[in-house]
Amino acid sequence: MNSIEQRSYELPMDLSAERQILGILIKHPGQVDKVIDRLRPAHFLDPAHRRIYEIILDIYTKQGRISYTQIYNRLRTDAITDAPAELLIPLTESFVALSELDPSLQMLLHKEGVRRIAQACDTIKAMVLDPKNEDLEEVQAKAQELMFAASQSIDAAGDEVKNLLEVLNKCYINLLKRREGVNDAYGLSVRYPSIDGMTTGFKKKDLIILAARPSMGKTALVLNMMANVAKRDIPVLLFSLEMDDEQLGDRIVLSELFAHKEGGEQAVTSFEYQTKLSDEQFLVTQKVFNELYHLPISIVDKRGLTVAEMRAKARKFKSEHPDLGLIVIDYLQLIKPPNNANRSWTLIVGEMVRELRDLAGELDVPIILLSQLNRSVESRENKRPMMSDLRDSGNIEEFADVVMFLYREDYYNPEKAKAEGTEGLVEIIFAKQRKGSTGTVQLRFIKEYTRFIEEYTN
Amino acid sequence: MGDMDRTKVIFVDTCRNLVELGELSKEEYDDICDLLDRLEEYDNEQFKAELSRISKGLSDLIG
Repeated sequence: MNSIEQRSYELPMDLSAERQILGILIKHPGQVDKVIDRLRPAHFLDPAHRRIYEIILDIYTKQGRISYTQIYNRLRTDAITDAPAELLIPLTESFVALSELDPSLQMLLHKEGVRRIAQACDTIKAMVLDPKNEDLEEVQAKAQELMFAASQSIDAAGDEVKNLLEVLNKCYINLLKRREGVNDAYGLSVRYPSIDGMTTGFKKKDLIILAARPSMGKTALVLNMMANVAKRDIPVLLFSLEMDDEQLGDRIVLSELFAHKEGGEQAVTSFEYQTKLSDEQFLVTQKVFNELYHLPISIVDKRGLTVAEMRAKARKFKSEHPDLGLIVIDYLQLIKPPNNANRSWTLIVGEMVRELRDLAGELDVPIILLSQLNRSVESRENKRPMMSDLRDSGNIEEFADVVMFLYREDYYNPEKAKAEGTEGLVEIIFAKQRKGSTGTVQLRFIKEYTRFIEEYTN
Repeated sequence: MGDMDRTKVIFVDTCRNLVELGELSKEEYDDICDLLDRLEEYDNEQFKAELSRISKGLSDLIG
């Protein structure tokens, strides 16, 4: 039994408004331009009205103009009715003035929006009550997806066409803001000047891939960046598919302890933090906790999340925190692929990355997606990661706006690094930037504190 | 204005029936539709003259 048969209510509709719009469009074809980008056939509930609107769109699209007789003839040739006159006359007599077009249009948009929500509720109800759907979290994610889709306007086409004046206006405003030093004119600064210098800040809607072999410091770097962002009261959302919340919390605290040590306060080592602290060290650590408590960082530390589940959680978070500034996902290879995937791993990963890029666009935030590189990097002499290293994990570089790799010389050649004084230096290789140049910058990694700091050189 | 629309639709309807009865050719019907789509461009006399040019029989029928 489908949800339609179970419906116990009348679908919201306004047949009078449907007639008025069609009547106006038939008698005043010039008005088609005013509604064509907002009104879809689905906005008409009456099947005959919907068909007439489809005919109007079809004639208009093919010939650029519509006429009474063309519609009459199509109604006959398409065998929609044997008596087109009986259908057309009430339509053209249904309105008094052209000014009725806009209120009627608004009414149809409203009714159709309400209908979609009602239909989504029906579908959700049927899904929830189906005993085959046992996985509650899967059902919750699907329900959120359905409700979100139903809440999206189908008349969004109006935003698709932008003239150059509009575009240049936005560019000009940003130019003025940059000139005046207004922060949001750039992308999101992560407060590492060398990184910000390369990117001019991570841009909204961008997908940033941060890839490296294990132990290069991927998680440490994003945690540092997240804290730097959150210290400016910008909410950050982290999906941690590997580390749990306490591990992450400890890392953030340790990293901040390093800053206090550098500021001349009592040093607290990683070992001491995890074992026993002196009274003075405890006071310093408490101070760090107090500083961190208010940071707007939210963590989802659940293994085996799918992209759909992360999308649902991110949408909910964004609705509760409209000023969400950054999403971080740690890491790609731990995302659970969709159940019914019979396709190759490459295609599946590519699809997941594309969906995450779409999510960045939808939520208007940058998403940093961590990715682990496979062993092939280590089979060659120069172990610096390259774009081709991403290809084994699906064509993720195609969908990324920025691709960053981490490389530590001291990991592979500790003796050489020691001799050359590059111990602790991490190369951040910008292998792709859709909106900027490629290149390499360096940070110093204080491993004990999982802290990255700027490496100032001459 | 409503009467005009009603008349227009009924006129097209009649012409269509005449096509089905073989009293009017498809070409004549198409020309009549074009004429009706441009009705506002003609006064009564011009309309009758144009209609007569397209179909003498129909023009005579409506007087």
